[in-house]
Amino acid sequence: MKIFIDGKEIEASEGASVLDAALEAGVFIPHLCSHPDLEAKGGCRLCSVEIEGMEGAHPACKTEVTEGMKITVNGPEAEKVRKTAMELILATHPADCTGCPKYGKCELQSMYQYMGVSPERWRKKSRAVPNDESNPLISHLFTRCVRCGRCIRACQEMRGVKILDYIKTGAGIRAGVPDGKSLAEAGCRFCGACIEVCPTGSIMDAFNLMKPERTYEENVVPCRSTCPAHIDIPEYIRAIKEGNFDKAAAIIREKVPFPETLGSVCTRNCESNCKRGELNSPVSICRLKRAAATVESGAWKERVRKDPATGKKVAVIGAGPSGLTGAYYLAKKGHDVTVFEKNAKAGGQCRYGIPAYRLPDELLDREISTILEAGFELKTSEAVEEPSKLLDEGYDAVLVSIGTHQGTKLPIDGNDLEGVYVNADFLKAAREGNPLPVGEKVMVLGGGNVAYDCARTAIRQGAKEVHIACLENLQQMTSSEDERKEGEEEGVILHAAHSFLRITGDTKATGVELQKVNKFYFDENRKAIIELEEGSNQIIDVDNVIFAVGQKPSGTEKMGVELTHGPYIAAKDHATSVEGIFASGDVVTGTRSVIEAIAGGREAAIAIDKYLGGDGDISEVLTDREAPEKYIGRVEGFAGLERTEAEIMSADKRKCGFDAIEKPLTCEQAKCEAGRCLQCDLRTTISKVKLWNEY
Amino acid sequence: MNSTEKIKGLKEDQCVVDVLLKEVENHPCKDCGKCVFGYEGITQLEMILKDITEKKGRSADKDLLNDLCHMMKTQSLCEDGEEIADAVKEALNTYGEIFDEHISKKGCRAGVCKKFMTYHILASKCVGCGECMDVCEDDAILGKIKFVHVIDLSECTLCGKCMNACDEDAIVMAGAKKPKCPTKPIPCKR
Repeated sequence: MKIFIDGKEIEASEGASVLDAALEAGVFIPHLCSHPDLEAKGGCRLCSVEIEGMEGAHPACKTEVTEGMKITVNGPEAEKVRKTAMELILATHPADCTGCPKYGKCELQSMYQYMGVSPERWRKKSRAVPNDESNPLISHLFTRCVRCGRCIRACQEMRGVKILDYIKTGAGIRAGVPDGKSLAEAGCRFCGACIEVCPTGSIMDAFNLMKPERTYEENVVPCRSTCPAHIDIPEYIRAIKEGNFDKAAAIIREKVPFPETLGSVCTRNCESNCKRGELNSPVSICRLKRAAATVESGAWKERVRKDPATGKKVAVIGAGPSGLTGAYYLAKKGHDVTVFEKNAKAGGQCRYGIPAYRLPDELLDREISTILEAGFELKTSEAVEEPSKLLDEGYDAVLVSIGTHQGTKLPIDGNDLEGVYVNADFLKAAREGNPLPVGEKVMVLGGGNVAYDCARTAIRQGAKEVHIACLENLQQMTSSEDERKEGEEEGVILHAAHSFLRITGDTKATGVELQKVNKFYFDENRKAIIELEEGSNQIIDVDNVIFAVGQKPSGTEKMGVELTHGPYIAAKDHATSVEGIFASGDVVTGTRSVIEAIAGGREAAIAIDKYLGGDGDISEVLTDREAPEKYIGRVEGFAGLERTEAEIMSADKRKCGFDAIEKPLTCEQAKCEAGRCLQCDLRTTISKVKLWNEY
Repeated sequence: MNSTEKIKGLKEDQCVVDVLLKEVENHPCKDCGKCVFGYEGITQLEMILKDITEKKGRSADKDLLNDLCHMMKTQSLCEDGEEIADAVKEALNTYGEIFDEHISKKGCRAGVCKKFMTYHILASKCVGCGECMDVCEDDAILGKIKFVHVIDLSECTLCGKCMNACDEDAIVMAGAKKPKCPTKPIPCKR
C-alpha cells in the first residue's frame, strides 16, 4: 500500500509499522528501543510522529500503516515529545562518552548527536552501579543502561533463555539477572544476543576477548577466524548436535580434504581460542571433526566441484598435506594435475613424520584415496629435483611442496657418534617398518611434540628408559599438554630446563651431559640467552641420542628458485622468483602444522588457477544450509558442562605397539559434546542497526 | 484514594508539595522502568519536588513540571504514568501559589516543609541553663547562664539538636507565623 512520509510517497507492506516502513524505504525516523529483530514496545518515544487526522504525537513503531496514511516526522508535537524523551534519557545517563568502550559505536550517542539535544534543563543524576566483570565472556556495565529492554526481549523472546529481566536495585530499575544470580548460575547459554542488541555500552564482550588486530566478526567467532583454513566450525558442530554427521562432514570438506587426519593430529588453534575455554574447557572441536569424518557416508561427493577441462597441465612436487590439497583443488578447477612424490607412499609428514599410533596408515590411505577421486595422477617414488625442467617438459605451472624432511643436529661434541639419530630419520624409519635400532636407554633432545613422537616411538621399539631434555621450562615448552601427559604415563622422563653440553663416548654414544638452566629467553635482538646453574652438571648414561631440535627442507638449493632464511623457498602469495613455479607448505613457512599446510595448499591452488587464467574460485557448497534455530532455550548448569574426552588405550597397552591409541568419539558422545558449543556465530545473524548517517 | 483525590482533599495543615512528593516517592512507576516518560518522568518529578520542599526550587520548575506532566499523560505506556501526571496538574492548577511561595523561598504555608521552618527560644520558658548552647555545633545560640538564649537564624542549620536538649520545652519550631522573641539575651524571668 501507499503511505506518505513528509509528503514523499512510500510503498509499505500491510501490517508493517510506520517505523519499519519508513526505515525500509530509506527514510530515517529516530528510534532507540525498537530493534529490527525484536517486537516493538514503544517505550522510548523517540520515533514519535504526527499523523494526519490523529491528535498529538504517536510512536511510529507501534502505529500500523493504513492506505494513504499521511505522516509528518518532525511536526511540532512529535518533535517536542522526541526531544523531551531524549533529554530525560540523557539526564540519568553518564555524561562522559569518551571514557565509554562503546564510544563511536553507541546508538544513543549517535541519536542525541543527530537530534542535537542536551539534558540541561532537567535535574541530572547518574544511576551508578558497580561494573560486573566477573564473567569471563560477558561484562555488565549497567551504569549505562537506558532500560530500552532490547537485551531482555532478545534473551526472553528471541532466544527463550529467559534469564535477563528488569530488576530493582538500590540505584533504580535496570536490566539484569534477577535474584542476584550470576549468568552461569542462571543458566545462560552465552549466545551474546544481549551484547549484540544493546544500543549502549551496558552489556559488552569481555574486554580481553576483543583483540584489536581482528575484525569484529573474527573476534565474535574466534574458532572459525583462527582456523588457518577457516572451517565453518560452529555450523558443523551444530550439525553434529542434531545428529547429522553427513552434513557436518560436508561442511568440513568445504574447506579441507583431510578431515580425519586433522581430527586426529590438528594443532587446534580453534580450541585455544574457543570461548567455552574461558568458562571451563574448550569444545572438543578437533575430535568432533574426527567423529564426523569416521561415520559420514560420503553424501558430499554428489556436490563436488568439477569444472570443465582447461587443457592446462600442473605438476606438484611432494604429496604431503599441502601438495595434495593444492592438487585436489587444481584438479577440481579442470587442470590436468600430476603429483610427484619422492617416497614410496603419499602423505608427507603425516606418513613419515607423525607416528602410526597417532595417525595409522589405513586412515591415511583411506583419506588419500578419497582425495585422488578428484581426478589427478599420483606418481610415487619419483623425485623431481629441478622444477623448471617440468616447465620445459610442457607443464604450465609447478607447485613445490616438499616439506621439511631433513632433521638437524646441534653443534655439540659427540653429535656424530654411533647411535646418534635425528628426528626425521628415526621417525621415518619406524613408519617404513625398518626401525633404527635402539638400546635400553634413549635420550631425546628437544621440547616439542616431535621430541615426544621420538621418545614414544623409542619406547614402542623396546627402549626401557627414555629421557627427554630441553632448554625450555614447562611453561615454555611447545609440546602439547596431552603429549606430555601421555608421554609421562608411558614412562618418559622429562628434564625440562636443561642444556645438553655434549654427548659422551668414543665411537658410540654412551651418555649425555646435562646442566640445569636457570633462565632461558630471547633478548630484543632475538638472541637466545641461557643462564646455567653452576655445578649442576650430570651425565645420564644412554645408548642412543635422538636430536629433535627442528627440521629443514633438503634439496632446495638445486631448485633454481630464490631462497630465504637458508634453505626455505621465498614466495610471495605462493609465487616463487621463477615464473610458473609456486610453493606452499612447510618448505615456505618452516615446520608448522597439517592445517597450515592445507590452508597453504588451498591458497596456492587459487594463485595457480589465476596464473593459468582461471578465476581462482575454489569454493564449494557441499550441503544445504538452513538458518540455525534462534530459540535455543535455557539449559540449567550449561556453563559447567564438562568436556567429553575420547577413549584412550591404557599406557601399558599403548607401549606395546603402534596401534592407534585413541578411539573416535561415539555418535552419542559427539552429540553430547557438540551441545557444549556456545554457538558464537548465532549472534552474527542478528540484524545490524543502521545509524542515521547510514540512511 | 488516588493521588489526584488526595490533592483535592488537602487539609490546611498539609503542604501540597509535600503530599505530592510522598505520592511520587511511592508510585508504581518507580518500580517499572519499561517506558521513558513513566520512569524518567517519575524520577524527574521526585527530584524537582524534593528540591522545592528543600528550598532548592528553581524559577523554571513550575513550567518544567507542567511540560513533563503533559507528556507523561499522553506518552506513558500505562495508566500509572497518566494518573500521577493528573495529580501534579491538579496541584499546579489549584495550588500554584503554594508552589510559588516555596520556589521563591518565602515559606511553607502549612509549616510542613522542614527546610522552611525556623527554631525559636521562648523567653517565657527559658531558664538560661546553657544546655542548648552546648549541643549546638554551629555556635548559632547566643546567651549566658541565667540569660534567655537567642538563636541566630543566620547561623542556624535547622539540625534540631537544641530542641531535644532542652528540658524546659522552651524551643519551638515555627513556619510562616513566628513567635515574639528577644533579639539578644536578656536576664531570665524564671
